[in-house]
Amino acid sequence: MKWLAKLWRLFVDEPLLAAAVPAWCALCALAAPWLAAWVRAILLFSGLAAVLAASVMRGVRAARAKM
Amino acid sequence: MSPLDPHALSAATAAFLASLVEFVEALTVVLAVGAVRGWRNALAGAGAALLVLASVLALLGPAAPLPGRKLRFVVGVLTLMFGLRWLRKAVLRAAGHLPPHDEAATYRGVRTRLGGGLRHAGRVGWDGVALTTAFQVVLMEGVEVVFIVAAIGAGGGQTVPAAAGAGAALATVLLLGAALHRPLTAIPENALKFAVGVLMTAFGTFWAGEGIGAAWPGREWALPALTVIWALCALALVRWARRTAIGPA
Repeated sequence: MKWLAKLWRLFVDEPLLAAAVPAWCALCALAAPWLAAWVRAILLFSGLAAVLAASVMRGVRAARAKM
Repeated sequence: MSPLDPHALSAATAAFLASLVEFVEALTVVLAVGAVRGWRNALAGAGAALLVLASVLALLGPAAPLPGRKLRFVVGVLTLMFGLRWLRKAVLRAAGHLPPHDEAATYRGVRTRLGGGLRHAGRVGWDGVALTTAFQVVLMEGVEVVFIVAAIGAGGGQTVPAAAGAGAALATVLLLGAALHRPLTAIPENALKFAVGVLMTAFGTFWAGEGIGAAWPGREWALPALTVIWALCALALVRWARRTAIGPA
């Protein structure tokens, strides 16, 4: 079970991050046929950056709540 | 592959840094096992785990990038989940919201747990607990190295530079461990984790983007550019998180 837990934690640590990253990528893939190639690149990157920022924000709030 | 191939350089660097971090963590426990329960057990356990990891890597690590956009997309998303997880933790650590990894404390903890204050290093014969502890820690830390090398191989066809980077990291840690016989506390693990997080996130963004047919400006130079952009984003987040740390709750 320790192995499975370790394997799981390779990708899943913070629930928001683990759910939002594949969700955003899937959304970009779905929207891709209607978008220019350069817009796809910008959309993918900006969404991922926003997900990281939101996840860090959650981490900061959680850390401050423990203080 | 030219010597200045940016993908090969990024692949080797990411694998080297990530492997360095993981092997330093494994070395700490192996050293504690060796010091308390004897070196034969510690080295046999660690060696067996390295053999398992090398076998898994030989089976998983394709020599060429996976064909088709969909597979590149899947590898990209998995790499993003892995890289952003490291980056998030590194940002929170750099901002002081998470405690930094402490190898000396881990070393003391394992010694106490295995030795109970007694020294068994002079023992002869096999010791199941010591063997298992050394085997498990090397295997578990090595799983991340295997993932990184396999992902870089599958996503970008850079198995050779990635494996070379991981091998160089293993050699470095083995040499330092043999020479010093103590945990490598001077290695800036948190800064390394930050760099690995940035590199893996850049790789993941690039591959996931290729998977959805995104056009990256500058073609192969887009990867170094993405690395710089992600590093700047992460540093900006550290600054923001540090300011939040000293503000009112």
